Amino acid sequence: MIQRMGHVAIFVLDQDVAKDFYVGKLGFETKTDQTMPNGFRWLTVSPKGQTDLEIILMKVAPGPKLQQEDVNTIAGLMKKGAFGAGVFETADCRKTYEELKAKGVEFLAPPKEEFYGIQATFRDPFGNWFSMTQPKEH
Amino acid sequence: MSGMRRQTPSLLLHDETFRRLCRSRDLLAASYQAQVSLDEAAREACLSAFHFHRLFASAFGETPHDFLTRLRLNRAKRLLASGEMSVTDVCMEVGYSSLGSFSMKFRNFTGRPPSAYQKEARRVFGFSAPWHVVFVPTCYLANFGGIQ
Repeated sequence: MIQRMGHVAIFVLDQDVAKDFYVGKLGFETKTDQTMPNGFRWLTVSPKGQTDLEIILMKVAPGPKLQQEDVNTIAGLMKKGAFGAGVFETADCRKTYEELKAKGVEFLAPPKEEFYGIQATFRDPFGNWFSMTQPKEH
Repeated sequence: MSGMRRQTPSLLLHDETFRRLCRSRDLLAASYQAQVSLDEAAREACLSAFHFHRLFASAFGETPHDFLTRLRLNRAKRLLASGEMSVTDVCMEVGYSSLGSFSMKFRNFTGRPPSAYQKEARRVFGFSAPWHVVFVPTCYLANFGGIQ
């Protein structure tokens, strides 16, 4: 019986840019950053409050599963904003919004009160977008 | 993995409290070899030892002591698997002064004594050095990394 999620993958186009964004701007911590002898780089990060969940920053590149045209298609869809990769949680959406904006994070929507809490939306440098939600206490 | 059981973190903490706890956690992580005391870490978070312990567990799903132990033993695993250091040297390197205590904790953590773990890692990975052991799911290696 599956009990929990250990790793989740987000496609990125450049892992250095991705690391700078998720670690340098969002404040996540690097869990593993290791390049294999054939050049494949295993890069995982975690939010500081959830370090047992590793987010794999997986480079979209030609390989066993993907041809170059697939890579081009995926990159196009990412830039178009087709991938809503998930929901991050914060205890203070408005404060975190101001901080991340000051660091250059691009927001698609500012904080707004919803029935479930306060939500803002931002995107990473490749077009993956996320909800950033301050949940309402019930 | 036997030994420490991680708890599911509870609801989100107050933002400023979480930030202070992160600073303390970073301090513990940066100084695990130098044996920064938990009292010092609590002071870094501007909390009493009691509240620091409780809120740390609430934020991160494990007590400060378990966090430090896990950090040290994961580091020990990598050093043992790299095959470049003896068990005694690894014990000292990760901040334990007693080989007996280190061996017992390692066994509880991994299910094997450090010497057995090192022997198995050498059998699996060979003696190539330097070798940074990274535990990557083989499906990702095969599907995206082209490594069979």
